[in-house]
Amino acid sequence: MNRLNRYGRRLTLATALLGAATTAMPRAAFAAVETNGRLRGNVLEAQTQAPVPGAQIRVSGPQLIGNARTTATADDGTFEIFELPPGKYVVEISYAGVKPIRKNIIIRQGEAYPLDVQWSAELAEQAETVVEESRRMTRPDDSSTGTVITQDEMSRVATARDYQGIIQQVASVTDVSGNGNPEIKGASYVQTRYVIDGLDITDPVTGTFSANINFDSIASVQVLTGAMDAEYNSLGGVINIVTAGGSDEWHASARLFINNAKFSRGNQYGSSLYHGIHIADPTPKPVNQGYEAVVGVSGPIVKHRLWFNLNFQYSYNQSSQTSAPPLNVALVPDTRNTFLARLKLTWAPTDKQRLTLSLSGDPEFIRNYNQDPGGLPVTEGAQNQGGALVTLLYNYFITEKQQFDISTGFQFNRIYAGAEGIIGSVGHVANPFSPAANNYDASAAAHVNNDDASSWYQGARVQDDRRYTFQFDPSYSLRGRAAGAHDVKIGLQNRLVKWTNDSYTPGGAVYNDAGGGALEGGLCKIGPDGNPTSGNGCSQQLIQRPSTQSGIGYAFGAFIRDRWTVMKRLILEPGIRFDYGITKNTVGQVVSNLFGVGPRLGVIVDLTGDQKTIFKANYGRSNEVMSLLPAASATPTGLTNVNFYNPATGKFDSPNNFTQGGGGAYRLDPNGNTPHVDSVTLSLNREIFKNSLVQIDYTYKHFANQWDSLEKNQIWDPSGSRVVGYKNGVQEQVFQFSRPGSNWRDYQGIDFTLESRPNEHWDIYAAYTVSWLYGPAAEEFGQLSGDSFQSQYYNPRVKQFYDGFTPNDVRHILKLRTSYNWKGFDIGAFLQWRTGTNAVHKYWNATDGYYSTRRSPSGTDPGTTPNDVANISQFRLPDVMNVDVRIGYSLKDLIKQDLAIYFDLFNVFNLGAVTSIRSTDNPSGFGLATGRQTPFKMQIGLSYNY
Amino acid sequence: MWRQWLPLTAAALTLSACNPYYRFKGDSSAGSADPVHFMTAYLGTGGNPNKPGSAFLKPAPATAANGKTVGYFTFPFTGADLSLSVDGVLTVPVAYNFDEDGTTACTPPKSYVYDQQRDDVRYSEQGSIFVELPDTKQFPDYQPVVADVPVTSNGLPCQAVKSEEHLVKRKDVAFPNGLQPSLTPNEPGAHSVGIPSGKFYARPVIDPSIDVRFTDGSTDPVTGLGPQKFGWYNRYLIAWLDGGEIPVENATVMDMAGQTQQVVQMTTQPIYFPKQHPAVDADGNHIITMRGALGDGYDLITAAKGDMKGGFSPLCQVFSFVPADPTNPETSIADIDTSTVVDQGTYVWCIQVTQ
Repeated sequence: MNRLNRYGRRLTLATALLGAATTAMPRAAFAAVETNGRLRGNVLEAQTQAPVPGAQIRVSGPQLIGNARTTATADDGTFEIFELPPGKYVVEISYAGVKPIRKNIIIRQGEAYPLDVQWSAELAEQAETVVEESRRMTRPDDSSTGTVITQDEMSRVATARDYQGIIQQVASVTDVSGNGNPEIKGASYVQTRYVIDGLDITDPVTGTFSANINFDSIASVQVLTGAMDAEYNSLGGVINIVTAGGSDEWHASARLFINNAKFSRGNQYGSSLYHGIHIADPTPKPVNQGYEAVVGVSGPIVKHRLWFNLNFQYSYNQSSQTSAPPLNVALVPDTRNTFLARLKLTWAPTDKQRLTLSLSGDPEFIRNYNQDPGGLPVTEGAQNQGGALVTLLYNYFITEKQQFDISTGFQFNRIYAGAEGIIGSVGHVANPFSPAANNYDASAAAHVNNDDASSWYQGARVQDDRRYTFQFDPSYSLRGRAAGAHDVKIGLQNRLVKWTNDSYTPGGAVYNDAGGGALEGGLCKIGPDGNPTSGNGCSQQLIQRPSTQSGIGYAFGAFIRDRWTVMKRLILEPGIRFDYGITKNTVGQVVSNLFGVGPRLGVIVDLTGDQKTIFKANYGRSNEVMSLLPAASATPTGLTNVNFYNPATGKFDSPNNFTQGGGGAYRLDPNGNTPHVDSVTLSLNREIFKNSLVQIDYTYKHFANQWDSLEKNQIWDPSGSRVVGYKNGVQEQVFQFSRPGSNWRDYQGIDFTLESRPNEHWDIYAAYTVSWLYGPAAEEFGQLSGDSFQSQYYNPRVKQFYDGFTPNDVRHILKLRTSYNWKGFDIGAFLQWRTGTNAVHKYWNATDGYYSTRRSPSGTDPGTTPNDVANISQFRLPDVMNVDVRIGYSLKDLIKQDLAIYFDLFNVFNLGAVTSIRSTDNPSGFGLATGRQTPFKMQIGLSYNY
Repeated sequence: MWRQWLPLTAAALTLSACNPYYRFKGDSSAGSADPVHFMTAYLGTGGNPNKPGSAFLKPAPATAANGKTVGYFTFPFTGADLSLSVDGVLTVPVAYNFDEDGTTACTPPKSYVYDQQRDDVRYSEQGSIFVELPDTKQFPDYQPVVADVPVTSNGLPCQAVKSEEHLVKRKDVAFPNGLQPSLTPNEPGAHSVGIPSGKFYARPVIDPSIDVRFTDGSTDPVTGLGPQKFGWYNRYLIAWLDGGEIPVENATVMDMAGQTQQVVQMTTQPIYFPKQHPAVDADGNHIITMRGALGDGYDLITAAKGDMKGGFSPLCQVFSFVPADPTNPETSIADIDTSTVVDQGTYVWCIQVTQ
């Protein structure tokens, strides 16, 4: 139940120490999306298979505001109705002089419902026919991969009640980083696009999700994992969320979810890699619990014309880690108060126009988020975050063949984060350390003991970060016939982003201590004069100045795509898009000025002619033309004096001292080499029986010219352990922010998927993915690893060790979601098993003053016998399996009220696999587990709908 | 038939294409050697095997017979005796040295210009290949002496070879003395080895991250490096110090069982240190005398590096003497009162460097 941090990561002391733009940069790219679905099909005479032209098609449903949508079949009997909001509909097919036929269908966002009607005299003679239509799961007119998860499917299994958790159910979607931002088919988690009601809410700085949303307000989530047409521009996948709107009926709902600590097992694990559960561990069980309340109401303001949907969610979550080395003391629990409010208005001023306005806000207050067993409460962090977004969708159905749309919106976000003592209030736990380590002093400098990775005296740098996004996307659609049927869409996409960040370091300095031994006794003691009182533990002093940074970016995209039905068995999806983006840093320098062309071609072949066996092939290129991440990195920063301890003088006055940051320690390379991905997808879909699909997808993706920072000034000794000179003669690091051709990675993956809903009781989704992800491009300015030095362009002596399987490489993933309901009784389960992720063994680097060097390729470990390549072996964390179960019962049949109770069981087998380890080559610390699976917990839910 | 093989072939190609470590095969660089198990003397002053890069190595000054000041690094002599081979069987490791006669050379990259920021080593030369490290676990009997195996380049790209295993299989090199088959052909990784020339060199392998200095404490003003050289061990970059050729002599000795053995053994040169020498007190004002030790800066050495006729050897036999004036010790061996000379009963590797 832990809520995810906005921007999907925590501001850590480590990142602050680097002096880099800790909150990173905005991400570019457009992800215009389809928020609605469509109906397409044909009417044929049953016996002769002759087309029936002129038949009237009428579509109506509770989600469709205004009057019903109508069209007529063409000469070849085909018809198509666009922009239908997701939901259940009744399709009425009528012909002059005969009774109409009615069919019930379900429209899913971004997908076409293929409705083929076999017209017969016998059928027409019946007074009225209602047919529950099975849907074609092969999606025979769309070559993209992915799926749509509806509210109904979400409600059948236990979930964390957020969209970030829901999407983990889809094939090829992983969350190796563990921060709720998915990696999709080789893309890093900063390359996924998030869209809510048409507004791209991808954080303009970090590329992660930037808004939480009331889970019950989600109507459906479309997860596009690849092979997208030219309307989309994303190096990874697209998470497309459509929220629920109102209707002509009044509805109200209330839900309560209780996850008391007594319902959970708590963390009772050993700290070492292969330790299991410590059954007799007397350490008090850390608190992990949460509560959530949701209310909502929807209905008509003006029937058929103006609807609303309003809801509000409050949640309180508390979590904590068990005590562990190096401090072995209890941690003050992480607490989060979250408020999620949303209002959606749908207005149909005329039958041909539709306006949808969506407003939401998500303030959240987080305390003690570090949960680091290496820090006491005074080193904890707090974060106040929140934002608001407003989206406006305008649809103008000019004619049956023409349509004009505008998707526009604005989003604001703010994070105020840093030392708990500044933003929140410091808690207390019993421990044997000094008063200085326990009593918060806002003027105290932070110390990091690199001998045991413990932190002391002060929390992280305080940051006040604001981000703004404005989007304006008009598009025009035209359908017609010319050598087949065409569905052409032309669109423009504009995104303007701005970011500002004010920050300062409490205490003014951070000390990286080393060599003095473990714990507080190993710290460098600083006297009143600012100099060490002894040399013990003294290594590096960072004097960090306050800074103000900002960045701005604008991206423009234009696309045209066609869905060309060449013949009944062949559909082509040609398209092309042009993207341009520009970013500027704090002082107005152009950091990137990029242009990219993205051709697309999809081929869909109906192998058996009955839409049951479909082969799809797709090639596409996506370009990332605007990312504020480099703009925030390549910008004047607060100065940091990097001072090294000089044993000869007993002061931090080493001749190796240098200044980092300021205005000159970066170089720009704004033009050319646009980051892009080329992808080829082959897919075979077969409907094996009613509402059941088997699908095999092969995907190859080549990520090229990925962003990175190239250190250009340091001259390393041949061993790469120390710097022996500087290119410009000045002791400083100079980074160039560029997109070199040598920064690439490749993904190959095969997905085997079974999707089945054979009847109203069962829902089954099973996916197995085998994939390989390799290449040196596994980092973007330290955002992914938290360490900007973890790149092939930092220390050329270890460049070769940044090639190999990347940290996000997961060889095997199995997902199984299944549910069954019967007479109000529901049971659903979701199983996920994946093989372990790659780890890195980091070694000491004398110049950096910490563990930043590698001795074997990415994804391997040199072994315990050094200097023998035969001992290098793959280095992976253990496999992880998790099973969540929901058991529910609806009392509707008993009390005639829609009241239901749920029991959600998470990690039912209470498995405790290691999910992260200490990777530094500290002899006493390497390999220690720093993270394990969340233990078993139960959540009780009550739901009432009116 | 092709219908059966096609999918298998496609699958095999797919899987092979998914192994990124093929780029790490062959004789690619495995990075610098990890000194975690290096003997203390080879870690430098202040060396921490778990935190390389902070140690330094500065030669001690000594006065040679010619009156010139030389600098030398000391490493402990831990051998059982002075032999280098017994009945024709080497007791020390070999090292492959390239194009030492200057008539041949490896092939640098086209239009190559050394770029110290880019290049770990110079790609206009080929580093020597060593087969042992001062590693307490793998080579506990390590001595800083190697038997020279000359290699001549015959189109060899510079620095393309980084291990003995791959060197002996290459077609673009020649071994003037030939190769001999592995003595353990059935062991994994068994391969031929080069036949030595009969020369021996003192070449201690040191932690490659050490800040090595010249005698005056400086480093090269251009490169920031000292007198160390760089070579390869089993694809790992190592640093070594060139102590020069070791003079040897043939001898007949008796083994423990009373059997005679033909041995090649090292000859040594004497090195003297005064038992007292001047120093300054804690105030830095007054000259006092203190107990002397080897390496304190007042040593007298018989011959400078390369002076084979003068009795040079990188292996020194240690003697002490009593200076006539402790505040101004003798600066020439000829001036030493021989009656005060005492054999310390130890040898020490005295690796002289050139400024």
